[in-house]
Amino acid sequence: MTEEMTSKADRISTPVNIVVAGAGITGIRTAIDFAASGYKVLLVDKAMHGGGILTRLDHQFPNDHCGMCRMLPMIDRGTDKETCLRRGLFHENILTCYSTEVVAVDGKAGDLAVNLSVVPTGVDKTRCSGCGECERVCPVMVPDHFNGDWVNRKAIFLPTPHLSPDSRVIDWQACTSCGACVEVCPTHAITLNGEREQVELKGVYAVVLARGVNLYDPALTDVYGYGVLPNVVTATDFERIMSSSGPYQGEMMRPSDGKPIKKIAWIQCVGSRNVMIGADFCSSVCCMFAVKEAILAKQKMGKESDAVIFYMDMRTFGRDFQRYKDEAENVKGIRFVRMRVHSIQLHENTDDLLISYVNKDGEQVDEIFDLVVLSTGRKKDFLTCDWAEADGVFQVDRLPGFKDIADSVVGASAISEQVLRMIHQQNLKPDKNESDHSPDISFVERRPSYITVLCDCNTSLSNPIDFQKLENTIHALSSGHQILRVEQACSKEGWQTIRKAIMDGQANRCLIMACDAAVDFSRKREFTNELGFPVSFVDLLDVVSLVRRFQEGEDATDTVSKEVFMRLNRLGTRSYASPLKQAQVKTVLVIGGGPAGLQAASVLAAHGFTVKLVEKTDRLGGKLAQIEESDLKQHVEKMLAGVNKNPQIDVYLETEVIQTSGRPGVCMTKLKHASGETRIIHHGATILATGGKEVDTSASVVSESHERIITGFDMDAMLKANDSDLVKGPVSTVVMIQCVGSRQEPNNYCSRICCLKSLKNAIRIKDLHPETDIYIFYRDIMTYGNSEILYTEARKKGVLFIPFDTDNPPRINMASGAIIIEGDDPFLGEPVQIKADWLALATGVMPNDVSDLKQVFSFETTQDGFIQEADSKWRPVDTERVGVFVCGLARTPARLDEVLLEANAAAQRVLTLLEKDHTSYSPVTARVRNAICSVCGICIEVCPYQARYMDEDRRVVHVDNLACQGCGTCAAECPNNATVLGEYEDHGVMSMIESSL
Amino acid sequence: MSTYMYKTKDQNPIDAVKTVLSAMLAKSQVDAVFVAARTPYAKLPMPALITSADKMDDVDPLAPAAPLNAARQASSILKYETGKKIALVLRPCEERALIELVKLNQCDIGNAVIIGMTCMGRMENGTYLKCLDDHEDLSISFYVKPDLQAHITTTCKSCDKFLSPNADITIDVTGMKDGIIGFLPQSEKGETLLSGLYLAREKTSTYREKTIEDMLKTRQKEKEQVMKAAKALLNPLENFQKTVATCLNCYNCRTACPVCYCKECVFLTDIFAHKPEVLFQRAKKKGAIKLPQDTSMFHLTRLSHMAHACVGCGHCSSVCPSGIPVADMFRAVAEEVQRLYQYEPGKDMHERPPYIAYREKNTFIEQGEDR
Repeated sequence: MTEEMTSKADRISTPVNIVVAGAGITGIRTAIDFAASGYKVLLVDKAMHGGGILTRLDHQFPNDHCGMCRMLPMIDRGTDKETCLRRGLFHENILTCYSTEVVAVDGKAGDLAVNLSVVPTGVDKTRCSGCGECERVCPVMVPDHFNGDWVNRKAIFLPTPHLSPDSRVIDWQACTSCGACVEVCPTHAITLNGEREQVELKGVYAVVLARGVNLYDPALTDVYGYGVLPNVVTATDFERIMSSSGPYQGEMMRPSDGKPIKKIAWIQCVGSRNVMIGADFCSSVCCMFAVKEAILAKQKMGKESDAVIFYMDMRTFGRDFQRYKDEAENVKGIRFVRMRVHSIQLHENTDDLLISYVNKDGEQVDEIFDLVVLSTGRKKDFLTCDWAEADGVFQVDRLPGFKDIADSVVGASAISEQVLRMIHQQNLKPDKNESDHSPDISFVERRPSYITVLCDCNTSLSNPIDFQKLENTIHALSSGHQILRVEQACSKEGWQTIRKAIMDGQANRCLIMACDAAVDFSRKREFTNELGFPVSFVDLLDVVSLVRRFQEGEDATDTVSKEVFMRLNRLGTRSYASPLKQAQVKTVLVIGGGPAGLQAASVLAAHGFTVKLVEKTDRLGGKLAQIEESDLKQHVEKMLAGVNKNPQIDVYLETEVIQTSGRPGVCMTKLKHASGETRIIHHGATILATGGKEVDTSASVVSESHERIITGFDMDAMLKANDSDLVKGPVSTVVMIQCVGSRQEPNNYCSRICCLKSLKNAIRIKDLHPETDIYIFYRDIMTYGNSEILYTEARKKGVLFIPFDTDNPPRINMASGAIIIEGDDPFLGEPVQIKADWLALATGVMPNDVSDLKQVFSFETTQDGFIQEADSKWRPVDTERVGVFVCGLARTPARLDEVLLEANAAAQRVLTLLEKDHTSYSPVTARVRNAICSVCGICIEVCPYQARYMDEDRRVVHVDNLACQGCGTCAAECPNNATVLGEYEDHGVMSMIESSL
Repeated sequence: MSTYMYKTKDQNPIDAVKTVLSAMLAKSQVDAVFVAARTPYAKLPMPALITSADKMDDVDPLAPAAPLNAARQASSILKYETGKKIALVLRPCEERALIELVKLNQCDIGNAVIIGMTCMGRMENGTYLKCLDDHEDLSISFYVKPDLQAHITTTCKSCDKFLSPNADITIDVTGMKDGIIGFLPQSEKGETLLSGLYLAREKTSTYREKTIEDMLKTRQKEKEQVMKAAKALLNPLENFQKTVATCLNCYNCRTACPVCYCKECVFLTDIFAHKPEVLFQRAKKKGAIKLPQDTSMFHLTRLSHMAHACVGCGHCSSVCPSGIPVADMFRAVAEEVQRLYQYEPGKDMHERPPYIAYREKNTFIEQGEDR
């Protein structure tokens, strides 16, 4: 062996600005945020893979897509190796390192020493070709925990499906060090040394702790028989059963006997909302998780199937979740049964599972299921580490909590913003990319001349390839074609040979026929920076994957030739355009002076940006008076005072935005004051923080007003005033009705705050007047996360809760002058009649009207008038319009703390866009061939980036190159190819098709 | 449906139409009339743009012939707002095509007056000329003699959209057996125009509704059969290959198609202009290839581009030199596509085409899949 092994520890020694501990979705989000601003990031995780819990899930609610890739930066995306985050994270500023822990953090923020403990994977990635021989020969079999322990895996294995390059790792606990893999490895990539290595990093600016949550292990509560009954599984296990990369390749069969699954039950709140085990919290995501699983499962199981969810409260507290659940129930036929299941039994002598319960009508029902899924949430305990509180460490979550993707992404970006604020205030700089070369233009403009590299590493292939025949085929294509045969293109020697051949030769198009390992991201960069090749002029044919499709021993030469031929044809049609550069205006327009707008403005000013804060009314602060949490109220008041004094923030009161133009980075916007006076401001980005308001929907339940029938908001205000009747007492009976006018059409969404408000009001009344009877009529109490303690406390204090359905809401009778509430108590099974001193109606919130702004900025709104984000899971504070962001009630109902966090996240998105003085934009943009364009304008309508516009006078369609993201929608819609997309012109594709036929 | 109509004093229905159109021009209600007329050189009526009231002699919109669907010619006049007011006499299929062209930004009909008709169908050009030899007054006798009506095209026989519900005025021919021709106002615009012409106003002919009802029944029955047969032209794939086997790549169908709106068809661009090497290569792979190439590709592409907008006028079949039942093929696919997206071309100019309006969440597609 002529070269030394490259160990993981060695790879880390490059300069690192920020260490992110925890490579779940939160960690990845922060890492991308920093990397996009040019900082070098080391992303580590204790686990053997990144992606956290999400690697086990294929689909996410509410749209049942994966969509992880939507987190990747939109700009410069063309230069990334690939765009699927399940395959790995390949940003040039991010180094990922798994089986790695941060063990100590010392020093001051801005200059930290970070100690890492690294467990080697045993496989040198730079040598591994991903052939999988090691896994084949490994004699050790252990249960595959990733796939619910239903199948076995080897001690050397792929930690997650879809990885690219598909380098395996060694599970040292299982490994017997027999050496079989070392012997068989054709590239000598394996070393059997699992000893931890210590690495110390110096000069690190910050450490982000994104620890995430551990999932609850239901084997600890024996009532449901998890671990004993083989057909009782957890929700994450069930994801694997459904997954095409799972233990049954996506076949819906149950673990015990492989019987097709036709009937499934979900049991909610396993390990959560259970004070008996000290779990006085809600895991927040499991309800929607179960609904999603039920929908997908039902789809897979076909018509004669049944999916039942046993629940206590369906916590559909996101903006679009209630409709999703309703659709599941009413359209997709998922059954919802409100019932805490007592236990699961085996049915007679089968593996079927029996659940007995009492239904609404008081009858006992025995149902038999093929499979029972336990909706397990998070573990009670938080993962702790002793350096969490050290200086320079930023924790994404100070309190344990399980969040859905959108909330995690928001929380992550909010932390990124805090880290960057510290960095900016200390005036620290990113480690500049030493190589920022562009390809040599004279080189790329020459007529195509090819070099094809054929890797001889045939030993790992189970199919013969006739290289002579292959060479002849290539020569037949054109005579001047250079062919290079190398042994092991992935090795350093192999790589040197390729480099030399290219540098000495004339070729400006290169096809490498090898395996995925041969060209990793850094080598692709080398092509551009040192050899002058644009990335698009290099193509890699992954011959290993290609040949895998064949039966063992079958001759693959013809197929490989055809593929080579196709790729070469494609390369010949590629063209290159230099990226476009543009200076940016470091001013941000913030629309809305409520808490969200104030937060975004203050934060951006702290980063050195100039902020133009526009408010429609004559004062800032929004619904300040209604804020109940005193700490948050103080925070907003402080911001308010700060904003008015801050020279970097220009406040425009009684002002509206009436017109905007420009592109991300450079915009011009016209403001209009109430006096009619207009002015134009220049800015680089926009944050929409237009807020919302309480909506008085009490008319939907009471026909006439009564001084003692009030809203939850009113009751809160009364309880704050010491001289109010409610505070003074006596109060004999208080009734509250939840979801008044919410969670049913037309306002079919949960407002998130009303349950909390009612509970707080109830607790306060009980504190003041313990003798008062309080009844709360509710549909589902939405105390998600740690606010569950309020629900527990209210119940402990004797507040009575009576559930109702939308088809049988409580009725209010004021005939006798008194307020009588009539309803049905499902627990007693009989009607109830309560005479109330006070009746509080829990009315919700709605967004402020943004129809004028919608015209100006052309964003989308939901059917309820909330501003539609680019992606409700992965890009929650972006709009489809690049450079226009959204936060707060304008987007979704939220608590104030959540609103503020969103404002930070939106500010972070602005930072990513505007931090660099110049932005370079993808050269892959669309253009119009006017000679054959019929000017139908379809392309303008379908463009998601508003990058196209019509010149009405000349009747031609124009493309704004800087706004165009090269998505190709226009080219796909144009019937006669009058619009074409950069290098994806039909010629190339047609010639590929031609050569493959 | 309007319950009254306007009538001229003319005994001859053709003269009645001419009178109305001339009056519109003479009274400067419109600046021009777009209507089918015989040219001095040919007996077949072609679209004409008439600005002078005394150039009405050869106007013949009721002739059971139409060498082309006039929508595209109409759109060339209406390309953009010119300030000119034009009355267009169109068959229902022409009107529907014109509305599709409006959606595609190919013309502006804000200032146009659409005069539609209760369409009894058209004959193929040859058939028409032959019938004309025997019946000099074919444009009138056609509406009176059922045996002449039997000569209309296969497409017309199975067309169930023979009314012009969107027109401002409909020319009612259902009373022609009694020598009555009426002008039905169908919009405020139409009412204003007609009432300004001092025509006689009376109730619509008593059997208009009955005639339409009977026609619809016959046509729908015929359509069912044609569609059934047409599906066999397409499925399985081999049948489709057989159907288009004799296609010459003359692109007549595309030229005749009123909704195929591209300035230059993609099949005329360099993308399909194969180098000899490519043809040799193709031949070499299979040993032999048929020329011209890409004929199936052409029809499939046109289907994918235009099936949603197909108004079923049948002109593509009429112009095919190889006698390929292009229209049947198109209508069969169009029917399925339009049903799937709940889209009716030419119904409403504000309805957006499915490829713009369709969102993944739209439930009708899911229902479609369930079938």
